[in-house]
Amino acid sequence: MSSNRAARLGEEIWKTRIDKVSAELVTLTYGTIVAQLCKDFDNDYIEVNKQLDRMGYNIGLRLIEDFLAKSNTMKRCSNFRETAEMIAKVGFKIFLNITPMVTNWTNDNKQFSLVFEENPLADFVELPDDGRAQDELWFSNIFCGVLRGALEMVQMQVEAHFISDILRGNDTTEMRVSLIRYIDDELPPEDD
Amino acid sequence: MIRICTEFALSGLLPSVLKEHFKSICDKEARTLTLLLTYTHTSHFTPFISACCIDKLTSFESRPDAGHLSAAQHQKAESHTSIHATIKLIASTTIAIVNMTVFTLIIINKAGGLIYNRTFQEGGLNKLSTNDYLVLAGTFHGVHAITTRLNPLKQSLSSPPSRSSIPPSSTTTGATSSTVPSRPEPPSGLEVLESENFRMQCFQTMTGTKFLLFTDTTQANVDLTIRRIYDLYCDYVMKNPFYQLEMPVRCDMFDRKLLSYVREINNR
Repeated sequence: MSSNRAARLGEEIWKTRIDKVSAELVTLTYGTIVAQLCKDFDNDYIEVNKQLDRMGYNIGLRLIEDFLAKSNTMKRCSNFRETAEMIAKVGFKIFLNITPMVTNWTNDNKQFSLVFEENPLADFVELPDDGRAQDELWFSNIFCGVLRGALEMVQMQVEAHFISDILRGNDTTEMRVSLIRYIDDELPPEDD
Repeated sequence: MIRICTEFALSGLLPSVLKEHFKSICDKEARTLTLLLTYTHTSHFTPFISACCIDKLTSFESRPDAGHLSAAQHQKAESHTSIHATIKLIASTTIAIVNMTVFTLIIINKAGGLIYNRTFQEGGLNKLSTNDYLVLAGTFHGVHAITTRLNPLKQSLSSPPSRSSIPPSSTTTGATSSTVPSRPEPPSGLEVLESENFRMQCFQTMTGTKFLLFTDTTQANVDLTIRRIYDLYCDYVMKNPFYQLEMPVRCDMFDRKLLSYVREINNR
């Protein structure tokens, strides 16, 4: 599916098939969760990152069905570039009404970056000023888990992590997504 | 009556063979009625015809030349009223059974386990034991998996080019879309199974879950029905935080929404 078609599809679903809630509700709920995790794990931000990723993973496993049903997807993406377009222009669009930019492809077409120009999860947020959060906490790390879980359900094993975050003082918020392999559970063809 | 029956016959509700048949005999009233009775037993168009029969027969009785029909029928030792009663009986029973019915829904998880089964129409299909449903689910899963491999032509055409495109893409420096390793569409497996009494349609989601819907053979728009059921499943099963993935579905809300949706179809 071309980039434009994906964008149009995302736009159309967003307009016609999505129930909307207040963005602030989402922002506040997510912020509370992260803050509570930080409290529960005594500001062990590495552990908080892990927990967020795990929560996202569990969301992704379920969310993918909703994505497939809403987008009425009948064919799977024929390559990873198409997958990236679908994630950015349909997935993020229909669930969060944002369209991160797909960029920085590697030559083997197995790794790309999502650059978030806006991020509803991070509105109003300032990271704790304890000298560590700025270096260790990936506030929106739940996204990584969601992508990992959702793609795993459609037979793609990926790895996703943030490499920069405006909250940390970087210029952009950028996530790196790498395809590890396609999980094809069919038996390999028998050789005679 | 003949005119209206013929109209029915010609309006496309009956197969063309029957149309011809109707044309040739439409000058004999009594025979038309008998014929209709015969078709009532055999054709898919039962509801239309029987409804038409009742209607027209009622109006026919009030017509002055009604005696003509009765006389003809008397020759066959059948009374007018008994025909009337028979038609009414057939009409009422067949309308109940044949009128576009969704019988049963089965959901199979990606490992081939039965996670949901529900029968909507009592008396539509014989009830199976839970064990039989489990076997049916497992067997269908296996058969479906094998049928996806019955696709040698598509496989052999699409795999070699995609394989050969991977090595160059890793060596070339300029990444262009032409060197993107492609992932061919997987061959689809068994989708529809039909018997004299029911039609079973399978819808497999991209995640590997299968929805099997048993309907009447004349049911229309089964695709849409299954998609709608998939929507309900997404909302009321997948989004229920206490539903464990891949486990049997025990969600009251899903049951209720599904029942009311299917009832709407069955009563249409």
